[in-house]
Amino acid sequence: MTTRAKQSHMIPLPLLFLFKDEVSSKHFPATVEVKTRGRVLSLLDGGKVWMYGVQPGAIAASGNDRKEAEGAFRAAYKAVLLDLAEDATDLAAFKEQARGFFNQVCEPRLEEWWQAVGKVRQANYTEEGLRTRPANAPVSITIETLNVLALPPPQHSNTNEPDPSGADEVLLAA
Amino acid sequence: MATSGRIRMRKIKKMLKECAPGHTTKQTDHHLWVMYGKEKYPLPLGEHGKRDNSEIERGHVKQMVRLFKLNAERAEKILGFPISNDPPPDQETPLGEPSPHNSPN
Repeated sequence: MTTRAKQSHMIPLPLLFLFKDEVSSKHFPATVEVKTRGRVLSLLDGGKVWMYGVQPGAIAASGNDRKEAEGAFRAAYKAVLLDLAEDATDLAAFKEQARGFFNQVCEPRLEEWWQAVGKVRQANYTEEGLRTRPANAPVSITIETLNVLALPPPQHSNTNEPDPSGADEVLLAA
Repeated sequence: MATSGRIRMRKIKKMLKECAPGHTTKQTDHHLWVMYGKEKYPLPLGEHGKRDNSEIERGHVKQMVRLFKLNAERAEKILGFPISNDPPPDQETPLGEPSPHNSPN
């Protein structure tokens, strides 16, 4: 029997995300595209919905509902990338820092995440508007240089706004 | 006194001093990065307000304690709130049931 929920919030909810960011810095002459496929755990905590990073694990954000929390998490991740870009002495250093940040796994959360996957599977849980992806889908970060010319970065690249191309996605891990 | 759901940076620093000896910090425009062992956690600083004693949402501290694998019991005593986020049984929302935190539409 499938448990369906319309805009409800199962606690906790194992999620996968795909974010695409363009980052530039005065320290390196190119704009880079950072594509991140990560894991995050959504749950109610202290009266708010929290998105707790699993991998990357050093990140968290909250909202009054899951949509708001997702938006806050999205912005928080971009803010970290911008911080790393500003702090890096050159492009190679930024890549190392960004990969290092992504590779931090919050192991207690990872355990909770897989427990949540088990519950989702057991209940055949689905949610309207939330696509499903296999829980064992690979996580990764790729950092590609978009251009090496000394051109001004795209207008949106170093703002806290996510990529307007709509590449961002949050999916249910099942 | 911190607002509800938040904790003052001074208390966090006190906790880190006792539970994460040898940790270091680095402040950037928007974060206070806390480094401990091989891990580092960016505590978000507000755009406004006092940077020397910012208020940080408790969830960030919980996540940081987990990431650093600090002694949760010891951290809880100093911070004054539970680190474990397991909700009490009466707050859990069964699968498929609407929760008080539904999206607006």
